[in-house]
Amino acid sequence: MSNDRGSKGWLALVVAWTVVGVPTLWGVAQTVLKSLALFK
Amino acid sequence: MAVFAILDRERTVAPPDYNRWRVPPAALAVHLSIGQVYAFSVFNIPLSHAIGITTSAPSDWSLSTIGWVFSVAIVFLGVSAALFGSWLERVGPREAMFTSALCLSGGFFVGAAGIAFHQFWLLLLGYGVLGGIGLGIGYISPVSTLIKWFPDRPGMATGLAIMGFGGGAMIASPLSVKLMEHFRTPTSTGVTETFVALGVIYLLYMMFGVFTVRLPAPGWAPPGMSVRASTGATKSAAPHDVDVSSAVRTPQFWLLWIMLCLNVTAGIGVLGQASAMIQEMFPGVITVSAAAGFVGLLSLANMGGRFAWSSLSDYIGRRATYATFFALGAVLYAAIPSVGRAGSIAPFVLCYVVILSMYGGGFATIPAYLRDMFGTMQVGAIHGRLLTAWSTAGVCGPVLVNYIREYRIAHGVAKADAYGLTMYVMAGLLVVGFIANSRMRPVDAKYHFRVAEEGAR
Repeated sequence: MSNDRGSKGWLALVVAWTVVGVPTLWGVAQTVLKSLALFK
Repeated sequence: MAVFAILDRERTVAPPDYNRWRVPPAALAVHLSIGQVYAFSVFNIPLSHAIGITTSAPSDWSLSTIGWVFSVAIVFLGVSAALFGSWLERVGPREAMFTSALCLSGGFFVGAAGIAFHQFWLLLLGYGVLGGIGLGIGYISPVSTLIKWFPDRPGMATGLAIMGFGGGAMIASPLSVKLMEHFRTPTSTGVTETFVALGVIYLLYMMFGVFTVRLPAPGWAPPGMSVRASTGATKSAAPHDVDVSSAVRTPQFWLLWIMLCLNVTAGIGVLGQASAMIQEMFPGVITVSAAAGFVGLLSLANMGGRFAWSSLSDYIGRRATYATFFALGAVLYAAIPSVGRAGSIAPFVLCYVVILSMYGGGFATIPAYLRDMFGTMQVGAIHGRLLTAWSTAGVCGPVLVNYIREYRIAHGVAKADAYGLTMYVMAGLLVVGFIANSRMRPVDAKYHFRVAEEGAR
């Protein structure tokens, strides 16, 4: 198993997706909360 | 300089066992940052109170003056994408992303100086011109790289990145509001400090993309797939690759230009007027906060549509996907006046959600459509040229919607009915787009790039 497919590679993959995923989910959550006003 | 050698195209090539799923986050980091531009409106009121703080002073900038900052940024997005596309193909994605990051953050810093010294030209030059160039280069930077990494799913890959552009405003809007609240004092609206903070935040965030992006090695192919030689970072070209100078002379390029322009015109016009439109079509029923919720819902549809439709295009084909946008879009636009008159809010909202998902889908599917027509060799540069359609639509869409509405109201039509004609015009535009899409054929062999041509240049 080479480095990129090994544990370091997977860790880098998880970190990369976390870096973009967390802010995106936060932004989407803020927008969803704002959208709820339409259904009140 | 040796310190910049790390940005070289050759230093960006990935080892053979590199996991390609590490590349989309690099592209997303850039697109989530540049997508900030669609949240610029959160600065409108604070900028118009820069001197008066709590209210507009006589020397404060008017809202219409401030509106130019966003417009100039979008124009420079299109212009720089068109101008720097060929350069991007030459230097590779890392150097292009790095340049984009410097321009965007530099735009914030120069803009902050403009606000601090209350010099509008400096704000326009910083955020509008410099920032706009950063937007254009950043938008096209990762597209051809992703197409090369995902030859089996180019629609999904580019949709993922371009979805980030839609999502960027969702992050930037609440983030900017929170920063302005944090920096606000009795003598300052906090916009200058917020611009500086955003410049630093986006510079660091985009650097994550800069240093994680990789190009596939020459001849690389995903497991179980044999791809053409041009899929890698190689100078050799497959038989149906078309270079950018030839591509812009083909009817296919201009058909795609018309299709993108019409799809964006139809969507962008209503997106900018969504809040006023739903309140005027349902007077007394939809409150201001409910209208804001409607706009938020449309943003989610715009973002989700970018990923969903472009991913679907990998299975049903680009032509069928665009045919769906135009046919379904025309039917929905034509149905909206009747739905509005019936007073049914849920079907009205549903129509717009589907329309805005297709608006976003159009942006996200076009790079893969370009790749189908012109190959991967210079798809980034060709995409850059095509984005002039976006700049054109950015002017035409809102003008068309506003002009028709004001004309109708001036001629005695009730506000609730003033949008009816606009919807039929939009439906007509989409029918024209449908015809353009149906005319799409493979590019004539005389435009195909041949390796011998390159040697002769």
